[in-house]
Amino acid sequence: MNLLGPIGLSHYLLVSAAAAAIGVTVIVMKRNAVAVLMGVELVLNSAALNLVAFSRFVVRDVTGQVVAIFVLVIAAAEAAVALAIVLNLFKNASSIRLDEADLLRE
Amino acid sequence: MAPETHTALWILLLPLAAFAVQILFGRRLPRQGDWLPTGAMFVCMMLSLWLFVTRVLASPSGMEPVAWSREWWAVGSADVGGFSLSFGVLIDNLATIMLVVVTVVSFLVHLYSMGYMHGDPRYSRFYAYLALFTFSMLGLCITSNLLFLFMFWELVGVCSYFLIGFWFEKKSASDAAKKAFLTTRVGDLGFFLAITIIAAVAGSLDFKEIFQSVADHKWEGGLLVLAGLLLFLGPVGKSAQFPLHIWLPDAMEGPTPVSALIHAATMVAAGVYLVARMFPFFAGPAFFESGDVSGSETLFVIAMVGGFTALFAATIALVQTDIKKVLAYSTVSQLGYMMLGIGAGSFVAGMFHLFTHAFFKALLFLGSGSVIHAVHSQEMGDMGGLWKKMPVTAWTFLIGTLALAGFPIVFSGFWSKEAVLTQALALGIHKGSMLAMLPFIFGILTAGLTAFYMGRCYVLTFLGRPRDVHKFAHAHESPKAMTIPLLVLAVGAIFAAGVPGAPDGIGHKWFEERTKKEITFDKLGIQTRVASGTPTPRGQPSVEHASGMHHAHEKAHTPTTVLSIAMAILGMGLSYVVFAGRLKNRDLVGQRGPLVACRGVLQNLYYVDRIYSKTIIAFVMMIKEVFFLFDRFVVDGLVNLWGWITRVVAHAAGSIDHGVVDGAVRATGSLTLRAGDSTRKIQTGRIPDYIFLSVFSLALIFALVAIPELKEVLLRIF
Amino acid sequence: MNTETVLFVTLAAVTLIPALGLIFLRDIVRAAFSLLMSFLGFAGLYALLGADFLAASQVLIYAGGILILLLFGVMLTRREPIQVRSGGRAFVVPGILSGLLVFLGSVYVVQNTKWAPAMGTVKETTSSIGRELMGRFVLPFEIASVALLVALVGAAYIARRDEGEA
Repeated sequence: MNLLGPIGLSHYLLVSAAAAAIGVTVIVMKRNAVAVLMGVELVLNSAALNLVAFSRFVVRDVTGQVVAIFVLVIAAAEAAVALAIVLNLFKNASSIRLDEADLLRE
Repeated sequence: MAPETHTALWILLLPLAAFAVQILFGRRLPRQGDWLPTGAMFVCMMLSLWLFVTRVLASPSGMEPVAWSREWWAVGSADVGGFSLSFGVLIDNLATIMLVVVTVVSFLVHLYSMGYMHGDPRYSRFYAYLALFTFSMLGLCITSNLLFLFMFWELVGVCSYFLIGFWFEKKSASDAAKKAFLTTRVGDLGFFLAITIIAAVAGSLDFKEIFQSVADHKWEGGLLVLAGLLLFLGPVGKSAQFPLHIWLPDAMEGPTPVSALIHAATMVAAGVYLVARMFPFFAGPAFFESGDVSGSETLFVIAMVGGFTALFAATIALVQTDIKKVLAYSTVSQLGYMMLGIGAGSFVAGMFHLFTHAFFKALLFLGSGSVIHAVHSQEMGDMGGLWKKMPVTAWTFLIGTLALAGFPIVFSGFWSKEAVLTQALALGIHKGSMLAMLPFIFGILTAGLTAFYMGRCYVLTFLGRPRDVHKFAHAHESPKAMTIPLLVLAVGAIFAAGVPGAPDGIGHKWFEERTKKEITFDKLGIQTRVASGTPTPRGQPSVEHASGMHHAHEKAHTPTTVLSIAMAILGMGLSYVVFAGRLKNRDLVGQRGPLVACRGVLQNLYYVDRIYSKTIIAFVMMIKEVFFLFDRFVVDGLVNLWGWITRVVAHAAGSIDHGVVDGAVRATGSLTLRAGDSTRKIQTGRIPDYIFLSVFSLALIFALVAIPELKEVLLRIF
Repeated sequence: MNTETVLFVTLAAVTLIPALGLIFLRDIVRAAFSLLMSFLGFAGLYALLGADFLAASQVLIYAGGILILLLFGVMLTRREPIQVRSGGRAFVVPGILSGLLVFLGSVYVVQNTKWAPAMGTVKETTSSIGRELMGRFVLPFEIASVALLVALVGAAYIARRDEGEA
């Protein structure tokens, strides 16, 4: 157990690490395409948290926050496109189960 | 270089050039180039005659020998048993006479062939061979070195092979050519052995040096005899003496002009020439000292062989029905005569007979050719009564017959035969033994037989009534190309012994004057211990100078003359009586009792050929079998073994290549395939797998980078 | 135990526990809502860090935009009641492993790095952000807008309805 003292950079970093870990687990584990996307969003969020934390404790200006905004923006764009693809997949395969999306397999 | 040498070289090389051109371009020339060698031969003939007339006939003692030579190669020095080899040209009376004989007869034969060989598919080739043959023969006559003589000798043999086997489509012809070559080869073996011995003892093969070595007593008696006999083997083969005579009758398979050239006049004469040329060698040192050569064993053997051959062949000629065969055996017989003359001590007599024989034998052969051409057959059984149809041939043939038979005075043959017989008798008288008389006895008997069989031949061919009417009807005189040579030779047959009224008178004198010992051999400058002979006053027979048997010779003269004339007339008369009287179904030989038995033997040529074939040839065949088997099993075995080894090795190499090399290649290929295959399995086509792979790897790398200990742990594990 | 600590721990829990829910919840709709909670948690953490503008943006964009998008995605790709899983891959272990690796790595780094002591006062951020966006980050700003446009068009195209489709 680390810093049990005042809330510092490490705490936030740990939280973001945990979130990222969970996100990664979800990505690998889940068979549902949308679930995978959710995992991705988790990871992105943890990255943004990291940025903000550093911005607050190290850089001490808003640079991190600005970048975090961009992260948000891109996450949104990416989610839109990804979901469009998923819809397409569903249209063609009648399923969004990734393990049934195996047309590439011979 | 003296003009004589110059001339001689021209005479030698012209036919060679003619041969070269003829063999290469002959067929493309107009008339297939027959005029080329003929023209060349005409020039050579003229040159030889010029040499002869200006040098030999011009002066009483003929010409001085002219020698020219270049040294080629020497080991050590002649005195200390070394050896040197040189080549050169020797022109003396002897050589010049030979040149005349060869070129004249050759030219006439060339001319004759224009008619006889007309239309033959290999016409141009024939002339090429004739030219080559003449070249070889001429070379033989003018060389001053025994080795080169041997070379030309062999070359002559080769040419005779070509010419005898000219119509090689006929098996009998090609067989005959082979037989001729092989038989003379046997003789040549002796010749060559003799050469090696001479080279060792005399240190050189130049005639002059050889004779010098004899005069200097470098030779012990036994060795000289041995070498002489070996040397004589060559002429035995080439001049068809017993027992190597078997090839000559078979050689009649060749075209008649070839028979005339080779067997009448030149090639067979080569043997006689050799014996004459090497006379001092055969005679031994006595030749240079006392001049009495009757003691030489070698010469006696030569005389015996010659005499025996003469008689032997004459008996066979009696029962021949093929006109060319009669002439063939006659040639063998006459060659024996020449050998007899030389062996009895007079090389002059032998050469003289050669000289005259060349003319009338060639005449007879060409005449027979004319007859064959007309009747298309060689059998006398198809002839008869041709006198009326072919007058020119008949007359010239008659002249030849009379010359051969030795009809007195007019015909040259008489004189040369007389010279031989006189010498033979002289030998017998001089030595006084029965054995020594044998050569003479052989000779005189042969003379009688010769007259007889020639008479028979003539009668059966030209006189009486024709035996084959059909053939007779077609017979005609031959074209000019053939008859002109006949006429020329007829003249030669008469006058070869000298012209009546000329300063030397007729007879052998003019010949002998120029070829006798002093001229031929002493002028070569050979140093002898004892001065040789005394000069001869004119008008006296001087043949004895070459033999040293003065007194014997004197005594022999008259009996010989009488006997030879008697034999000639007796023989001819008898033949006329026997054969002309009965014409119709005339058995050509004789049907009476005792004769029948003889006939069988004679007709089978005394079974000589059969004996040879059963013994020597069988032996050779056996050896051949051995070698053949050896070749088949050992040699071929080795070859096959080698082939088998190669195959095995190739197989092994192939397997290695297939297994190892290809295996490596295939292994690489399959390895790549399998690697690819397994690697491909990553591409499952399933997305969760991809996600797993990428993300997991990322996480792993992240952890490794972040935690250095982890890295080490992992590194230690792996 | 001061206010900040309590707040922090609470917000961390609100963020992380629904995240775990994502893993364990089978039904995707429930998972989506769980994710929503997580997003809100994040927003709270941003606020705690003094990024007020960002916290607001987080709520607006993530909770109000992306999550709706996800829900739409879920709804539109609904299938008939559960078919038996066709012997699917069990990626659980690798998943957990990956997560652990990430976590442990990060923890390790965090622990072993001498961070500068923190503290600093929280300033007002909105105007600063605005200034940054128009100043230093003007290019990324423009590009981001283009990216959004592209994404919009692209997504619309990819998911369009073809002829004869229901």
